[in-house]
Amino acid sequence: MNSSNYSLRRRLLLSASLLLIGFLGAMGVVLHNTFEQSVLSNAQDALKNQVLLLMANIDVVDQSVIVPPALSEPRLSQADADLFAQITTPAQGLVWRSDSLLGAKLPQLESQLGEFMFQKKVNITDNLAWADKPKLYSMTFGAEWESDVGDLPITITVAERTGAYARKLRDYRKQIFLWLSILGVALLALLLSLLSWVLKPLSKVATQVEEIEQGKRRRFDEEYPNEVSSLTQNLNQLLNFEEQRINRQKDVLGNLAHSLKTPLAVLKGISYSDQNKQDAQRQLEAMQNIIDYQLQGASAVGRRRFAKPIAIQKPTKQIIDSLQKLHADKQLTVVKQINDDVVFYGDQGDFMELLGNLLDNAFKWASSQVQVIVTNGESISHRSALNIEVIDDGVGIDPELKTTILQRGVRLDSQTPGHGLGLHIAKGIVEAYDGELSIEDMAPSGTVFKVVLN
Amino acid sequence: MRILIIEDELSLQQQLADELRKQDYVVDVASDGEEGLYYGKEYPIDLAIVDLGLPKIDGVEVIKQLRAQGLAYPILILTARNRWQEKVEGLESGADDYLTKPFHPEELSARIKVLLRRSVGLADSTLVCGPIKIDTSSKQVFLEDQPLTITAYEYRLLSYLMMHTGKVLSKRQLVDHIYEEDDDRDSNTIEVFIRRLRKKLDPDASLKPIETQRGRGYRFRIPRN
Repeated sequence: MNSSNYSLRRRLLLSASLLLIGFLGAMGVVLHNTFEQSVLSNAQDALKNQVLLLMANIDVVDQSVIVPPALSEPRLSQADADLFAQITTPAQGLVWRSDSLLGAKLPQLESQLGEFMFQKKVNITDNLAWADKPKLYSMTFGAEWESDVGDLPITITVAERTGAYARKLRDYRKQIFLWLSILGVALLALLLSLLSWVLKPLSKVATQVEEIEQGKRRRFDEEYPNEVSSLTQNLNQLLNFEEQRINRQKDVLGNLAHSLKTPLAVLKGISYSDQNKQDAQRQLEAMQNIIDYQLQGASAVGRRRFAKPIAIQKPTKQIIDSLQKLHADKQLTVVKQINDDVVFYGDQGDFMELLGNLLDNAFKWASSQVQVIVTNGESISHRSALNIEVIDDGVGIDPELKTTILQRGVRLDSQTPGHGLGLHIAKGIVEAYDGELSIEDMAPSGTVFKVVLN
Repeated sequence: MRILIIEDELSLQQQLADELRKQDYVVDVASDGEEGLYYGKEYPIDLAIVDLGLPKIDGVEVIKQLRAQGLAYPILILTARNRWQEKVEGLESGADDYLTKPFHPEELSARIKVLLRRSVGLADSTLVCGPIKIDTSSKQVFLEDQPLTITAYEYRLLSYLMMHTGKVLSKRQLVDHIYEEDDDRDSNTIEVFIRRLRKKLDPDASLKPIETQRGRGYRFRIPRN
């Protein structure tokens, strides 16, 4: 998989995750607040009822509040309970408190007459018994008690520990968190599978590009979604165009070379006067070399991005068979070391031209044996290098020819023509593939031509 | 020796034919694959020179068909196509040699000589049967190492007989191999040439190199050394 595909997937995943976290987080907050509101209003209702219940229980006699010892709410009488109450009057201050308060006092709000005041998170203060300062919800109610001696304003405060409510809230929070997390993970998983389904054509493109690079495939498939097929079809067209261009160039140059050669053959066959003969032959020779080297050489395809691997065992054998026919009189031994799986990423014609010229040279000079070794080297970006060694046991290469051939970028037209043309053509092909050609002397006699094509 | 040239470029065809006739070969020419195939099959050809890019039937196909007919005479490809892929294709179809245009006429005739020699199993250009020796490259005849004066037709006849020594060759065969299509072909002249050869090679009638097989033809009697 290539990196642009990766980053597309990563981008989508990242943005979707952020969106999900934000959305689900906000949802969690809203749900929590709503539940908290309902919990608080439950608490308020419960406290109001307690206030009203307490008011039903008390009586006022002679400006003093009388609370019966046995209240209808037993929790108020228990120590260590979670419900508390106290009654105050403006004149006397605290007139009653529940036993559950253990002598402490509830913080109290100034309450308007006939008005409930709710307060969250108040603490019991003032007493060592409540060192843990329990958190409370409190409800304060201001009332005016009518009596014979006049109205008595009293303030009733009821408070309840928040514990039960807080536990409820905590449980609820846990539940929300759990379910929202499950929802988030499920959505992400769904998104992931959707993503890979949506991006599948792109990974297919990547795979096919790789296959085309390796030469296992010539074109992209036709079956792609619209958005991708416009891309792949364009690429297919490009590949077609490239192939056609190469073939056209090859054809044009090949035809030009062929059509020039026959008239040249006729010219060569004409008997010239002794005076002109040498000049004519020299010029004809030069023309022939230009055609052979420049035109033929230019029709070499050279290295291409999308080259099919060709097995080279067969063409090599064909060339050797042909050469043995052409040099039948020499009776040479040919040693061939090529495994069946050796491949060349390039044009078959180029390979045959290269090996043909190297081997032809070897056959020409060898005295008894020609050796050819072809192997695949390490692979660079899907394609393996090709190593060719052609060894003859002849008298060795002319040092001058060796120098001309090894000079980089020296074209034949700037050289003395007619000498080692085949080797120059071979070198041209090696250069078209950005390869390396080296020539070594063999002991005791002979020459080794080494070619590395990447 | 009878050579077939299949070449569609007429000026080159003409030039080749003239050159080879000058070298005492019997030459047939064809300008397309179809015609070439016909000559190649029907005429007693000793060697064919085939261009690859031919009208009607491609040169490679012509060679394949000739070989499929069991015809084993040497075939030399003469073509402007000089990529190895094409050489291999041509040689695989059954050709024996490959010469690319443009070429030196000397190179062509040297190749032809080698191919003809090889086809009759000769290691070099001389052919020796007893005291009689011919040099196929200089086209000279020696008797006991003394050069003989000999005409072109006599040479053609003698070399053909000697290359097929031991075999009975009919008058018809001999005529085909020493005369062109449009020459005045009278098989009686063969008898004249045989008589002259006998006189030159065997002045005292002791060697008797050429036997007459009545009603069948002639046979060169002395085996190759």
